Amino acid sequence: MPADLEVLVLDDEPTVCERLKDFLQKDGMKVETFTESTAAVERLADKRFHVVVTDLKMKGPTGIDVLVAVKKQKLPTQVIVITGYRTMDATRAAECVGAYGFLDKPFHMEELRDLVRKAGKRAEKEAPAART
Amino acid sequence: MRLADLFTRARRDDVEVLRGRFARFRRLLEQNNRVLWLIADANEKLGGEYLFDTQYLRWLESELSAAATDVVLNLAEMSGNHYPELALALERVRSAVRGSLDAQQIAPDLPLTFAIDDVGSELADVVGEKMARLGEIRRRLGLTVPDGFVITARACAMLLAVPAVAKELERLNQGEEGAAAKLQAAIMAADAPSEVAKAIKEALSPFGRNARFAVRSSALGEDGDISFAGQHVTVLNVPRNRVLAAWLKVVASLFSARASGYRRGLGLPTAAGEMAVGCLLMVTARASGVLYSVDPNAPQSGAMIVSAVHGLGVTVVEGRSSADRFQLSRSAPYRVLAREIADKQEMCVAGSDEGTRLAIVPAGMQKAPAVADDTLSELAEAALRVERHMRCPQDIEWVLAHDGSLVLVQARPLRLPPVTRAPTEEIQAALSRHRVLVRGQGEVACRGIGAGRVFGVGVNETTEGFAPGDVLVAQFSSPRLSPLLATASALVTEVGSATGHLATVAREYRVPAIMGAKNATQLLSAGMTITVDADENTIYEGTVDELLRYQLLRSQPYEETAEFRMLRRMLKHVAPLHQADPSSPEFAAENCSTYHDIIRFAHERALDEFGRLEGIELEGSRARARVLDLDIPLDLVLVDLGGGVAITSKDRAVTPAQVTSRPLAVLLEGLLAPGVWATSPAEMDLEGFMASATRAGPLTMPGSGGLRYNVAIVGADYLNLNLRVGYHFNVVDCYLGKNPEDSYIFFRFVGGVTDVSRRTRRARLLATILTQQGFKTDLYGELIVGRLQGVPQSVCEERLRMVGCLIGFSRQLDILLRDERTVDMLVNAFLERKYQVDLETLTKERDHASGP
Repeated sequence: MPADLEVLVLDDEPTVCERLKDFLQKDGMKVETFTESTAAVERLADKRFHVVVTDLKMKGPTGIDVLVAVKKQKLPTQVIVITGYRTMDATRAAECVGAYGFLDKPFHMEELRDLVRKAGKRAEKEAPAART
Repeated sequence: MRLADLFTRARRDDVEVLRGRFARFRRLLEQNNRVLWLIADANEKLGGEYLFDTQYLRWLESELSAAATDVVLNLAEMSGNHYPELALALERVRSAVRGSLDAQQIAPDLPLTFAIDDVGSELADVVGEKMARLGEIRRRLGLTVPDGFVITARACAMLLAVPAVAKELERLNQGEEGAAAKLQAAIMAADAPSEVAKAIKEALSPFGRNARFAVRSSALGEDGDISFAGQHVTVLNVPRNRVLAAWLKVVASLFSARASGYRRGLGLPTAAGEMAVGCLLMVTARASGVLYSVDPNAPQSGAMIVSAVHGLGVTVVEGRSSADRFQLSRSAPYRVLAREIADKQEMCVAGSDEGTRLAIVPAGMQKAPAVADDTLSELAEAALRVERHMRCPQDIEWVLAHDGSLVLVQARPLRLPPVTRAPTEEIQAALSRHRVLVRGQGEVACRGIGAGRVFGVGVNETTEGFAPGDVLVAQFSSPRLSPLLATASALVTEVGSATGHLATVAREYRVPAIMGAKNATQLLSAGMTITVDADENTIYEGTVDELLRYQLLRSQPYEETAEFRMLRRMLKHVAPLHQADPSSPEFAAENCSTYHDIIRFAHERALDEFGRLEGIELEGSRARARVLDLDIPLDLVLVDLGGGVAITSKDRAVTPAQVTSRPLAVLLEGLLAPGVWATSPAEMDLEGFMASATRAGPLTMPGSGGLRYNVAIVGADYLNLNLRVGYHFNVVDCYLGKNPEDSYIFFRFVGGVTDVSRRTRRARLLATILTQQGFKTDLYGELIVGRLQGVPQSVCEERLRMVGCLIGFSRQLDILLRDERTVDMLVNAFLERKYQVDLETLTKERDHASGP
């Protein structure tokens, strides 16, 4: 597993952020959390992350918007989309834009960890230089 | 659709009615199972292994509501709307469940007061965090918290709606200058709503004339995400007739300049009726003080801090006077590591009339410690118990009463600077020093980390010698272990699942728990010290301090998050089963208070309805209900949905050879296997009811009102078997499909009649056998539910054959299960296919085995 994986977590429910952060940190990842997508997008412009874990439906920019913003940067950052309301349309859209993976809430925490680890490996493979 | 397949094969018109009714029955069963699944699944979510959000809770609510409604509607159709009260009960449960999802909305039917004994974490949104926690400590941890009651937030909301108060509140909301002070004055001068005054009077009635109360704020959200520490008023030593006035004063403090400023500083809106108030009996204090279960300045040091003064602790809390300061070790026996004894010239005592006053400390006591070391270690032990339950460091206000008992009057999370980075390397290094005893066995029922001495629960389930802080290691997830979970530091069982009863209790007490860990009782021997990491499903030898510390210092425990609290509150109206015994007079539609009750009741009555129908059809001998002609004394009525029986004559009797229903044929192979159906008449006579009850005789016993005979509803690949053997009630529902994901066996057994210990043994025996055969097995008291799914058809058939054997075999159990050791012998006998067990041989074998 890549050491010191940088992960950005975005979910409008603060407790969800906290739990994800707690969980991923225990695995040795460096985690920043955001509850507002605008702030997260700004942060993404400043700093490179290996993996972005984002909720799909939020006020302001949605998970798809965040995904698009990341993809525009043409960085190896991988995006995992979490959703409680998985609709085929949204999923298809996210797939088209190139999300690394999806998770439906509720999900087992280990599923997320495995997915983030894999996404992290992909990010490292695509550009080891992306490590900050 | 399986059912449709079955029906397309129906060939005769005169079974239309039967088919229609069966369709409803089948639908009812499906939806019944759906509700059970949703409950089990939701319970599992409480273990911390999953991430869910409020959307999930809304989904869960609507799924439960839809499935339960379907159950009730189908019963109504089957019975000709025979149970109108059930629809009303359904409506009540539905509205309670929905209500529990409205985070802070104060329901109009909410009581205005709660006795402290009825308060727990699930009520935090109406009694405030502070009182919810005290209730929890009193209820679950067996520590002393003063008796008393809580005036809920609904009473506060009613007060704020009094016109004179509402007017000032409106002004405050408009941002008018000086409005806060006017509002406070209006509240203190207000006539309390008569309903509230009456409720307070009633709440006071159990207390004596001279009772004095400490009236404390318990604002919603206080001490939760936001501490509000010291922002609201506490009124001490309040006589009964002044409680109402003290309540007004505490509510008014919601709008004090101090509290308003604090809110503004945090960007919170103006308060709006979010204040509950606790009224707890005053404790005559010899000494009091505050304890921090972790030293905030050195969280890693393994020390806790206590301050203490003579008399009441107001001065410590407000930092007004000098207090003794102790540093204690966090490990037993909680030695004093450092002490600073202050010169305490003044102390706070209860006034003779009301309130408190300062008094001079007698000269000889001024320089003496306010508490003895013994008390300190008792206090430390209590604090760690609270900490373990709340899963975070605690800030505790305590009082040493005049009679020497230790009383907790407040406990809240101690805010420490967040751990910015998990100390992964430190933990990894520490873990590498500890031997892994068990890893990845079983399933996690409740996340968390706990360490302690192994207390092994033996076959006879004796719990003597269990000490608080021990790790419970048991072969079975017996509900009898529940009381120990209040003080256990972790739980490991060999048999059981994350959805069983004991797992639910573990989550309630927040005890890290791993269920179904194979060989745990062999690998973890009594007396050894272990650390159970239920986050990672791993058990280590020794105490891994680094892990325990990490758990304590990480961010908010997941149980405290809004979603968890909401789910817990919701499940209170969903999961408990009060309607377990159909023979009880309490078993009635109007007594159903949860979804579980409703579906249980409906299921039982649906079986009755089905029974009634069969009787009628058989009288006319037109339908395809037939009697299966067996060599054993078991009358079984067959209802063929199509393809289940090869009909060669007009006889009502069908031989096993004519059964074309694959599942029934397979089950019969087991049931009719040589020796399975024991025929030892002498023993049968011992409990004569068995032999007679297996003979159906008349189809329905007069006046019984219940199903008194055995029915198998069959299709070519489907079997629904309802057996009443003696007073046991056994259901087997099975479908054998081509795809592994389609086939399933559902096994449900409820026993009765014999004494409790025999019933428990029987439950354990069946659970052990089913588990060994790959069933996911849960015990709910005396109810055993086993499920097998996702295995190839051939395996499913083999297991079904085994179930057939088990049905025959289990008939002898009541007589044989005289003691605990017999359970293991019978399990072995069954698995070795020695179905004919006689007591004499068993006893001889046992004596031989336990001989010198």
